[in-house]
Amino acid sequence: MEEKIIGLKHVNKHYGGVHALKDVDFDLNRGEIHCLIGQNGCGKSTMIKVISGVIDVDEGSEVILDGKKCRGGSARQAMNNGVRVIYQDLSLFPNLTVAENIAFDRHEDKSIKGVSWPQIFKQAEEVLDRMDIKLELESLVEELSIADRQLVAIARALATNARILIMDEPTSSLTRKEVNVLFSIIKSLQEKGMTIMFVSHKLDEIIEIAERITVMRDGKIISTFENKDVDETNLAHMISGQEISYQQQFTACGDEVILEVEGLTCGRQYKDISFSLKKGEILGIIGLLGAGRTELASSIFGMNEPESGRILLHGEEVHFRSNRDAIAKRIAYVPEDRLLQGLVLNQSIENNTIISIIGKLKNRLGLIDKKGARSITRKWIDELHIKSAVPEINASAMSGGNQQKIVISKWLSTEPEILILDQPTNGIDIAAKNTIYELIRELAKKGMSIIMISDEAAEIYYNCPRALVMHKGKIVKELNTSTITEGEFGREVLDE
Amino acid sequence: MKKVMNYENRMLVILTAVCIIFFTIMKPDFLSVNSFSSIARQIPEIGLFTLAMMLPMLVGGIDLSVIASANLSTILMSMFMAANIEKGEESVPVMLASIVICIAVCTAVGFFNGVIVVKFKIPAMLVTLGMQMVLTGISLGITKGGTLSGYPQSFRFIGNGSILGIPAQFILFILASAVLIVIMQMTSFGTKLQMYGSNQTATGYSGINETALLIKTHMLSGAYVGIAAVIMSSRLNSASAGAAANYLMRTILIAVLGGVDPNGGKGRVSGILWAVVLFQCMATGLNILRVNSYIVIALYGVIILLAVIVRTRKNN
Repeated sequence: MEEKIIGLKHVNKHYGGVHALKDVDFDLNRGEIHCLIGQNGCGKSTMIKVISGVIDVDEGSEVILDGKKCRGGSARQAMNNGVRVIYQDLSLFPNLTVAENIAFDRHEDKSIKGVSWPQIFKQAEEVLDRMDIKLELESLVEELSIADRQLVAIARALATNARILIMDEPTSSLTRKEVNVLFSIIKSLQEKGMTIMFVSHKLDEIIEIAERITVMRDGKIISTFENKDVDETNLAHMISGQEISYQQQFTACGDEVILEVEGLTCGRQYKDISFSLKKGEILGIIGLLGAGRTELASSIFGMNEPESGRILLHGEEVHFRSNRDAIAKRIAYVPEDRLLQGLVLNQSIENNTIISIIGKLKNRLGLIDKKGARSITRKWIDELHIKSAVPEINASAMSGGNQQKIVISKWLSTEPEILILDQPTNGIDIAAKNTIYELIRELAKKGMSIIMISDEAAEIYYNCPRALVMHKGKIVKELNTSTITEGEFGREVLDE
Repeated sequence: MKKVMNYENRMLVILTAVCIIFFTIMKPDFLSVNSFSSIARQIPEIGLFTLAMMLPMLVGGIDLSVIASANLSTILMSMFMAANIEKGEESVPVMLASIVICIAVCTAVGFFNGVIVVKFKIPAMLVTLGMQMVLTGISLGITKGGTLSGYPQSFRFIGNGSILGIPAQFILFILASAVLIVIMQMTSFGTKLQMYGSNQTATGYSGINETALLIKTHMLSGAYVGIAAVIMSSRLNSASAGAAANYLMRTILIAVLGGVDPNGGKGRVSGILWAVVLFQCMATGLNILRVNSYIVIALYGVIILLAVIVRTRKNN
């Protein structure tokens, strides 16, 4: 008989107007490896936050830990019960040593007074022994590779006598080899009695490691399965909610080369990048987190000066001192982090839409042409079908998909020739994703050249006829997506 | 139809009404022409200093050098006037030139504050604290700690005269506030400034020139310090290194009371105006009641803490 260690019953969670979790029922059994899978923005992260007590739940929701009902929103209570989360960013202290990071939570223990270095090292060593791995205790965490940092984060959780380990997208910046190491550690932890919840959106990995799999979509739990009952194909359908998944819909692009990048290099971020972009082309760039794709994009957008190499627009070399120069040359960049880099949340939709062209919206007195600003905002709200948008209300009131459309409106109003989209559908539900893909295709048809950056293989496969694979700062492959299957494409991308 | 007044401003008006009623009950003299004319004469200075404080606060900074800057500029203005106008004589051109000098000095101080903040990426609090000491030191060096006094009659009109029964400085204050409302609400600079204060990263990605924006903000703030300095010096008929020292903390208090978010972004000129009225009613009332002035300082401290707590809670 399996013993429930965590149970959620009828859990609801609203963030402002967003219903992030919809009547969720979920069980975690003692000693299992349980995977939570779903697309970006389906509510996985919110689930983790509920279980770890970081956020409160709505009235009427029940969170049961070890058979005891617990009040949502108490991270301390969850920690005392041995729940530990390793977030995607790992939450380590880069400026401290491996040993200090592992033993960090000693500082939370009121019974330990003062700092004893021998004990910190002893504890760190013990934990690493238990995991059967070797790390230099005195090196600083910032000097470690991402994979090693991940191990430090796991060790830190173990040092606190964690019983339930929740890992949020732990493989998103790991190579296949590093994933194997991680999986063997996870398995050995399980043998020692640890309960593990593994959150991911990568099917093959999940099938490989999980005993039970819970599929989430749009804030709801679709179902929980035993590993043997599912395969990649039916999981994929359940995740996207569509029987027939996407179809490649490519339109031919022109011959005119708009952008050329030659031997672009920027320190440790990326090396010797060369590619070209044609008028009306949708070029995909796919790579793991930290592969240098965002750094490359910000160099093209003038926000990250490259060390060497050339950028040519219409055959002429350009040097951007800031993104203002890039915008003047009609390049636009929809950044990765919509909430931090894309939008000013507590300002109106109108201000967010016109911010990049506000200098040009002047009337005879040199004041803002309010009528012009309003009509531009309304025009984009109509054209991009931004639902329930009113120019005066704050951007924070909109859903993820609509917020992304506001960011896109901002850039479209600068009338760009080249539009760079960095993770354009991050945290957006499926319906909204599709409208954004459609929009991108429309823009390309009208002659706009588009660079789409993503780590979701499917997104690139179905939207980009040509894709560049980035790995550790280099372009390692160029793939013609129309000549291979989605599975082949996924393997080509991962095969590093 | 737009709402005439937002929630925050309504609260300030209600609090002001409560204040007036309270003081009138405690001391019926409060409701006199005298006390209101005293309020009207004091509001412009503190109000203009607060508007000057608001601007750097909107971009997430602060300006601790406003009073020091006002004092140095009035000292220079006073010296210029003394050198060019014989005692007992009047010269409007010289007077106007000295006013321009005063405002220019303060604007220049703002320029340097802005440049240091943006070029060296140092928090405005430290930059302007350093600037305050530099300016105060220079002022003391020039005056040897003394007071320069005695302005021509025409200059003293600014801080003491009336037009149709309305104090001259009050008219100046209303004009300056109206100009700032136009700048904040109707120019691209004002919009960018508020956007930048709310999210510096996103405005950077949108192609806003941070350097120019921050320097302009501090310069505009400096110009308002200059106007306040002219009025203050005219009212006091003097200039010294240590004038109005207690204004600095009050301007921060009123700015927060008026709805300026200490983290930047939020804040309206109208909020500041209502907060100044509230503050000055309270200050005058406490004065009429002869409340111990040390206790009053403590009371101001309590108010600033309460205002910050209420605002922060509302934002969360």
